[in-house]
Amino acid sequence: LISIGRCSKGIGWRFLSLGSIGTVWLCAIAIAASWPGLLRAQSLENEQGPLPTLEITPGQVKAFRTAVLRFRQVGQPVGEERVDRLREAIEHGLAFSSIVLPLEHDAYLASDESPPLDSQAPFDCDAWKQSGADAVLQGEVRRDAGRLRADLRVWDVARCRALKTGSVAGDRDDLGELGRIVADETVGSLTGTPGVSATEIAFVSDRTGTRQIYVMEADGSDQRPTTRSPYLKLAPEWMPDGRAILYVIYDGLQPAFSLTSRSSEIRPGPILRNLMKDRPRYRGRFDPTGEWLAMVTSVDGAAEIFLVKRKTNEARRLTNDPGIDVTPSWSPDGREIVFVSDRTGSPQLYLMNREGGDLRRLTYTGSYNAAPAWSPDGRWIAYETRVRGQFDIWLTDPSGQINFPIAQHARSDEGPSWSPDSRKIVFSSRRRGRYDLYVMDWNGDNVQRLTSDAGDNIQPAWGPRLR
Amino acid sequence: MAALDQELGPDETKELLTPRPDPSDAQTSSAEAESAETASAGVKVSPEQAAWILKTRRRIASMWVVPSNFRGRQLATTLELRLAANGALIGEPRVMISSGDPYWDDNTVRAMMMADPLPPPPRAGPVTFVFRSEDH
Repeated sequence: LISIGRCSKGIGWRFLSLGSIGTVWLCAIAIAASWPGLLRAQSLENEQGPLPTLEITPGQVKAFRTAVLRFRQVGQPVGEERVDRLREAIEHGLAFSSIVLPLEHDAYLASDESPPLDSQAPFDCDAWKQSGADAVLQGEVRRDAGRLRADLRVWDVARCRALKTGSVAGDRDDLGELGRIVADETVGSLTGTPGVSATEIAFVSDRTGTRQIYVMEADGSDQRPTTRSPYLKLAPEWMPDGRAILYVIYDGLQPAFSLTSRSSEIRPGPILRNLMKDRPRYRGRFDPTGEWLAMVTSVDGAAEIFLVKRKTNEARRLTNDPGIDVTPSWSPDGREIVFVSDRTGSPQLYLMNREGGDLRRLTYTGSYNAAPAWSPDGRWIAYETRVRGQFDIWLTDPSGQINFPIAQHARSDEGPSWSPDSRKIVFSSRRRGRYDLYVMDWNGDNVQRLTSDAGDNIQPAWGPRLR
Repeated sequence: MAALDQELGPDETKELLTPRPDPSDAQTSSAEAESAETASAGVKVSPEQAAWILKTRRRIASMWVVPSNFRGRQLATTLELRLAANGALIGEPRVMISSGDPYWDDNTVRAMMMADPLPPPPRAGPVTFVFRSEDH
């Protein structure tokens, strides 16, 4: 009888029929024969050692892919066609973000109908992972006291867990608005900061003749005038809470300030008419509280910046120089102002505190730097700089140490204004011949045109988040 | 080394084998101190480890979504995880050193989970990853 077994440590074969002494000898021979290989294996293991720390830096993937399911109707029917329109609006809002993009429907490997939010069935994350989705948006929509309410949940596919659950409401007849709000919330669940598709941009347009103040959604939809009188209007500026837009109107001997109101608490029409009478108002910029304005007016023929209190007409002079001092823009904490001055011979950017002190020059490159706009997160100041007779848009940090172009075009890019999340910049450009408004990511990527009507569209001012 | 060049391309091989900056040059921030530790470990790798590191970096980078708003902020998160012999993650990665931005940290964990399974490692066990928003 012969049976076969293994030597200890699995090296060589032994024949039990030879008895224990024979087994020992055979195993010894087998181990000796395999010894060099064993040594090599141990040596290799020692050589490998523990795996080193791996450093990972970003690749080329810059946007999350999100599957947007058709929201489930709850209660009184909303209508299949409206559910589809809501989904389109959400996907449109996501696409505008350029960092959370809708996943193409053809890629879906699971049902695109949203399951009930209280469903106990496990969410099919594997199918969505296979589809290429980083996140999935499911939700329910219902009529709620004359409005539409959307309850939503954003799934993190990788970990198969809910990132966000919440409710938003919008106008029953404005599915675009509700979709944009849902999209912005979805962006926030993945990046920590909501999107800005549900914000608005004010601008100046002469599409119907006289230059008027217009407002549009941030994605360029729903462009409508907010002023109609036959006088020239310029330089729109949002109140920080979004309740009104300040602009300059040329309806008398000197340009003056006026407000368009979006709230019953703020009366539209002229403001600060009794302050420094007979002096022009070229531009006003609200500080973050909305109580104070950095106002540009003229003293002895030179443009100067004043700090004025909106409700009391209190005024303090901040600049005092024979050159021009114009275009103030506040730091987000309200402590500093960046502005343009030609006191050294050419327009350059300068910084000062809100009392007019601590003056320092910010830009030293370029012979004509203008239109500074401080980002809401405080990190950057966007401005236009003249290059070969036209303007490019550059960014500098508030220390002036970092300075680089983000928009360069032979037909001039001008007048940058930041989105409230500091991720995007709207600007005007003559890329098509006339001035249009364009939006781009803060680093110059993803340029999209927002206006297409005839006429010039200039001086964009991105409004605050209202929700 | 020629085989490594052939498989991975000479540029990447060169990058991997180029000594990192002297750790003594590092600033005192936690992110840069972490970088120094990584740098010292980065020089001494066997060819097998080098190949695995490059494949793993490619795999994770292809899955890691980094929106533009995270760039330029010098963020760094250190993750620790355990790998099975076939490259599968055992459990969920743990954040050992946070960047200070929970969404960035979350994003790095998500990238690791999306990249699961990684290429089979030379040796199963614990591995440490440092996710940085910028090269340094």
